Amino acid sequence: MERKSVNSDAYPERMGNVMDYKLLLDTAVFAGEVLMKSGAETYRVEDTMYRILKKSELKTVEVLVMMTGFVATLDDPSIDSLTVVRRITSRGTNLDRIDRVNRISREFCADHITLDETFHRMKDLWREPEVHFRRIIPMAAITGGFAIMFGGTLPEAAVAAVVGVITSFVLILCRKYRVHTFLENIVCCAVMAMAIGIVVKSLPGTYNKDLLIISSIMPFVPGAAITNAVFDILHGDYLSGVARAAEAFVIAAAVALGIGIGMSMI
Amino acid sequence: MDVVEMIRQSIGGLIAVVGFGTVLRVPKRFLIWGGIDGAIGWFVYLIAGQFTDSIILSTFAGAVVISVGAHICARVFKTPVTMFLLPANMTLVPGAGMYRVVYYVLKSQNQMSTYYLLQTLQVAGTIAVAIFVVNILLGNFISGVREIRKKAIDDK
Repeated sequence: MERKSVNSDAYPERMGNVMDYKLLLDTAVFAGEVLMKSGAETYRVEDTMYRILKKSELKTVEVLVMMTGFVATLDDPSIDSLTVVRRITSRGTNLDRIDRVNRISREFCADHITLDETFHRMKDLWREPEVHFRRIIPMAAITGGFAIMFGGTLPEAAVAAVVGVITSFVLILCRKYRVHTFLENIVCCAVMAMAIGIVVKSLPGTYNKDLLIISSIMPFVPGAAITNAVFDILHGDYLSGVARAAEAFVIAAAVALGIGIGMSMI
Repeated sequence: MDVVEMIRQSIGGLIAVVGFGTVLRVPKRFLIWGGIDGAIGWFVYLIAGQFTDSIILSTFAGAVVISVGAHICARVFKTPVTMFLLPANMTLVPGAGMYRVVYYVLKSQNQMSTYYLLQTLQVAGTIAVAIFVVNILLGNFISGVREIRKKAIDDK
């Protein structure tokens, strides 16, 4: 309470340890950009940026985040107001980055690290290129694991894992040639359904085709989009929430279309 | 369904959730906790399935358990709750329903496809409601505990 009155009323007294507001705003903007590109909930982006900016102890701190961009502003009688607008065009899911931003901002807000250090760490994180890593083994684990989870036998799980590997190769090819996400889902699911159709017909033994397809489409089902949509709507970000729900519907439609194509081909 | 089969399926769920966590790039030290959370959720879903025929009710039970587990993990590790909730929730997301909708459309059995479409939407809505309820109740609970603590400190 005392500090606040010093800040807003007695301007000259503060000059001794004045904060670099531009740097602070840039730090918050980097944090927000990384979070949005990594698929954090709108509420989390707003909250993180607000907490960082609040460290300035200025009178007005406003952050408005939408799914496609954000505005952040700092204002006080003592300074000219600072405002930054950023447009976010690409979105993915990378929980590791969310966790790292979260840790840096927590340390900063608890005064464990200086603003300079926070800025550089945030900028390094922002600069870091998206690594296209091989997701072959995790995909096999997903499809095989779900096959067991839905009550399949071990041979069925093995077949599902192999199908998962095949789909992940198709996925890598699609990413390489920058295929649109909608088409990517269709192609992957079509190849997957065809592969399962061929396996069920040609391999000896009986396989439950329904179970194989259900467990193999799980990597493409928009579970992350649904969960994030719920979180956004829960926190009152109706615009972002509805946008994410629409995203989930589009993905679901693509997956359905892909399976339909694949199944009717065999 | 016997308990051994339930445990076997839950272990399958654990493997799947850990794989999902890797694709979503959950930090390595959190992977196994999300997996355990998802496995417990699926186990509860199966148990609930023994008492009721309604897929909605058992999904609700599973989703509540998963979100409570994810919130506990998030408090313990001081990290966003999505870190555990996103992968673990994948066990309950209605992928099977989606497939059946397409399957019956292709067989031109419109009645069945409409039935499964409705069920898929209901299951997705149920998961949403479960996340809602747990989030709101836990939020109230935690702020309540904080107030009591604060009061105790003030009284001293």
